[in-house]
Amino acid sequence: MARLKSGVPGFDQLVNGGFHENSINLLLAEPGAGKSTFCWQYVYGDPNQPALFISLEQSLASILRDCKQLKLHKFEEKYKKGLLQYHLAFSEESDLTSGRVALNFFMEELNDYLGVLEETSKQYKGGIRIAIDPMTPLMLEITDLNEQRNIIQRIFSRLRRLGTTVVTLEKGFGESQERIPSYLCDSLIELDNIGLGGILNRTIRIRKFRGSSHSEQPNPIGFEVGKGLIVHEFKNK
Amino acid sequence: MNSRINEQTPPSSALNEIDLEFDYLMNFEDITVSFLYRLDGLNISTHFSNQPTSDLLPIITWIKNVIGKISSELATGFSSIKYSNQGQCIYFYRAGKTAILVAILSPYANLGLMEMEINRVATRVGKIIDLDN
Repeated sequence: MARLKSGVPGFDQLVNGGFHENSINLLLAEPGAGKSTFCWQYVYGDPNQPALFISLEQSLASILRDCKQLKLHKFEEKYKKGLLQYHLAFSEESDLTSGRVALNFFMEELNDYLGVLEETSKQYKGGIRIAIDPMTPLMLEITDLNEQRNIIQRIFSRLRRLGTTVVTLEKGFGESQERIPSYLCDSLIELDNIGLGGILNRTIRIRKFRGSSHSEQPNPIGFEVGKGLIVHEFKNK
Repeated sequence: MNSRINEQTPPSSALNEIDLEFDYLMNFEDITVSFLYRLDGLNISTHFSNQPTSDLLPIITWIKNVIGKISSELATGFSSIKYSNQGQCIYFYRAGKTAILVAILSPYANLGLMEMEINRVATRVGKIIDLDN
């Protein structure tokens, strides 16, 4: 099966070449560990492949500002070329929570575009690059576990038809919020931030990668201007 | 500019330096296996002197089970903790603010000499790790 480059230097070596086509890849992360940066790099990872960035809380202006600070200019370039679509599933004016807005988007609005998106996705290996950052409000919106599993399963099935997706989920909202997406996704990547400084402060660990061998131990990650998130690999002997 | 961003990230060269320190440690025949754990109990790297054998498995499993407890003990100010398990000595040394160096020694190891060497390497590894990125 062909792989899609993640756009994150050093990451693809950990998973034997990148993400599987039409897969759901869950990034479980602590605050400040680099989940949003990972998503930005992923969506512009291939400059010619169409991408869809769905944010449940961060405005486009704020993303562009942050990318500018890190000198990740490819995000804005791709957006200006029209190859990167941004969708904000949140409205300050609305009384609805971002989880409810996102739920409406995935379960109803998306149906209107599904045909067009599917046609586009067929033209590219692995379909469209999709990033959802973060999915936490959506999980908090569905309190019943049975309903949660059913809805997440349906959302993931639709996303698999459209392309290859990176979904982020924030740690710390309880195990039940993490459990269902962790089982339903194709790969589970954990970003830790222990907050004590030093080179082991932030690490990345592949907990699950269906159909492939992968690195088993955590590897240090860092941020570099112009490159963004970088994975450094420890060699076991 | 965000303080977490460096113009040039040091980790890859730091990892090479850590690797060299472990190479040095593994030159001692008395050390069978050495590990680097993060303070939260995650295994970061493992170094074997020879091909790993199945008799090491119970000890490695035991380390995995006690590393959380040892981590909290080391966090209270101890610099090292020593255990004896199935005739082998297992040394845990604090390596900087975020890591623990673990070494399994052979049953006939020169414990005094090894203690000094492991301590020396743990101190050096700790200094490399504590470089703020």
